[in-house]
Amino acid sequence: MDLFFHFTDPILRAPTIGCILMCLSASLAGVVLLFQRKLLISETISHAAYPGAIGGIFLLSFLGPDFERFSFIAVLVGALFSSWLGLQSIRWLERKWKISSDASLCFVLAVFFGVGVLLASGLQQVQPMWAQQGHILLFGQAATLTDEHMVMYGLMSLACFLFIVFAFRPLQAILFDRAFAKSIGIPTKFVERIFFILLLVSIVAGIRSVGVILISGMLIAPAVAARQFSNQLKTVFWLAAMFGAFSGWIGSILSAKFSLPTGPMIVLVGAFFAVAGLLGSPKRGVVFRLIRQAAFHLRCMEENVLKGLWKTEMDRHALKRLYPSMLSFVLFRLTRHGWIQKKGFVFALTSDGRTKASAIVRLHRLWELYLTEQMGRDPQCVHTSAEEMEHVLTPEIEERLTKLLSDPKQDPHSQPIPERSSL
Amino acid sequence: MKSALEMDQLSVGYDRHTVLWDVSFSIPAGIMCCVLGPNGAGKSTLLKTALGLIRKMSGKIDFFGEPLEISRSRIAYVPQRESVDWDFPITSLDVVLMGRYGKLRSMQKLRKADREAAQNALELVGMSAYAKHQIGELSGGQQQRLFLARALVQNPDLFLLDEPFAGIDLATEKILVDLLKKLSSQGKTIIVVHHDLPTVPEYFDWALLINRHLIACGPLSEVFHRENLLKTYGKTASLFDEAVKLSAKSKIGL
Repeated sequence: MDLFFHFTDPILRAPTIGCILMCLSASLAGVVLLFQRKLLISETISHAAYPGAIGGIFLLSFLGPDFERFSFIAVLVGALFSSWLGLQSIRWLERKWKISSDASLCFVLAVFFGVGVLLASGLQQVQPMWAQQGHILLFGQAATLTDEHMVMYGLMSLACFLFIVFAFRPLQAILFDRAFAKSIGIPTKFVERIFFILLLVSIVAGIRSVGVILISGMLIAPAVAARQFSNQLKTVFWLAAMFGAFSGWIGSILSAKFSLPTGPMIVLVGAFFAVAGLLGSPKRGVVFRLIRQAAFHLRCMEENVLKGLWKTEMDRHALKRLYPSMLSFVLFRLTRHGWIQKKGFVFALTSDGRTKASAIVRLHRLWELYLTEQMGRDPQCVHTSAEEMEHVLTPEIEERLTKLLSDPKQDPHSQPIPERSSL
Repeated sequence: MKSALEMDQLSVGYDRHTVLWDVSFSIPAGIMCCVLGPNGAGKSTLLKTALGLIRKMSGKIDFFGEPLEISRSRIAYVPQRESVDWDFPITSLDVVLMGRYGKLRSMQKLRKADREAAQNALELVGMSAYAKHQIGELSGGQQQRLFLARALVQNPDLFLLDEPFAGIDLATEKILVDLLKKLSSQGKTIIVVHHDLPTVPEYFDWALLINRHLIACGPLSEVFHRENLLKTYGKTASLFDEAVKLSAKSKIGL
């Protein structure tokens, strides 16, 4: 099978497995950032790493031109150093100069990246042989990953995984309620510091395969997707790891197949999961919300027809005049559920339908009475509000209304209020 | 009487900005004490500094005669409800279980005893029906009760609550106060940051008044009077008159 061929092929093995592991650790770190509400920082870290990485290549090209094979170590060290420097600058800007956090994040990102681009063009002129090394850091290049990379990414993912397993409870407490966590003696600073080191290493190491510009997408997309599908922090972590690993896998295969840059490919696959989550999550997704909205709308229409038939039996034409939209479907459903029946040409309520309809009318009239008696509204103006509320009022609210109005028998328009159906 | 919380010449500041200075007082164990003061007086800061959440500039803080490091397990903190993200993916029961995290080692499994304690705590605050609910589904009052339940499973001797009655319905306020009074009658010490003067005489038996510095600390009968409140609340004396009227009313049972 084509998909698994990538795990065994000697050339494709390292890029594929490397990408999977790298995305795995990035997405785990992303979940923590998501709940710390600090996702932007990943963008700044990666961009701030760029000048250091180029600087590392620069230095190595002068000091050890024979060690090109180990340039990834120079990149790593340089990138770690400059992203650390970037973070210190952010702190300094925030604390010393009272610059707001998003402004200092953007400022550091732009300045560091600018310096990086300058350095890269300098490298192009001074050491053209090495310039390619710097180029690939922008968008990442998984195809040239080696077994050393694979081992490095493996260790990194393992470290992230172990951290989350061992520190799960403290982490959960810190993410939910930091002050409380500190008050019960959880070493918040220590846990956060370890996380931060892992985050830094994950991003800096990931640059090689996804690139400076897009790596933050790899942290964010799986985390956002996972949050949509679960309401348990533990599950969110598992799902994010899964989405992340999958994006790395599929993305690297697609990029190898169509010889496209790896970074954008992986991020696009990750983004696909995120969009799928935003649209398709059962509780929060747009699709299901639209479905629930439509269902509510349909219920309103059905209840309105029931109400109309409660007042008088009608034939199809009379109904059509009152309820023009989707009437056939509404009548079909009402008949099928046993609320109405057809007698010759006219539609009439069944006895169950009568009970149901009078409950709706009761809510309508109770609400009208409440608005006039308790809220001082003019009886002429209360109908519209009641038309809406009759569909949403719960039995508990009905109970409270009944008590508040001391079980009334007449609405403000001197119409009788039907008895409660349960009585 | 043994003191539950004692501060000696405490001063606190955020970047060169002094928030509290030279605060010294002692709150005896087993009483119910409110911390009063206008907005920005440093009430929350006082609690947070006591718990080591904010670094103090100088001074000494003791709980039950010992420093925080030793007495930490005897203290429960209930932060302001708004301080956390209620959209966080966690159930009510798990939030309450957090109260036990301080006592467990990092990989130790939650014991049956922990789970039962959490269930009991939820029962006590009338929230057992919501154990498996997402915290995002809870109302403001329920969130506050949940926070108190989390403090209860810590089995503390001292409760520090930061504005527990802010933005909740009267029914919940009553449940919380009754529960706190019960705890107090069992010998627990309760310290509450409070901002509703009229209810003070009904709820508390001791008051600590601050506005950047200590105005007074003592039994209600000694410190809760016009002069001190004027000092605490500055020009907003009308508020005080209102409180006194209400206090007088509640004393004669109106």
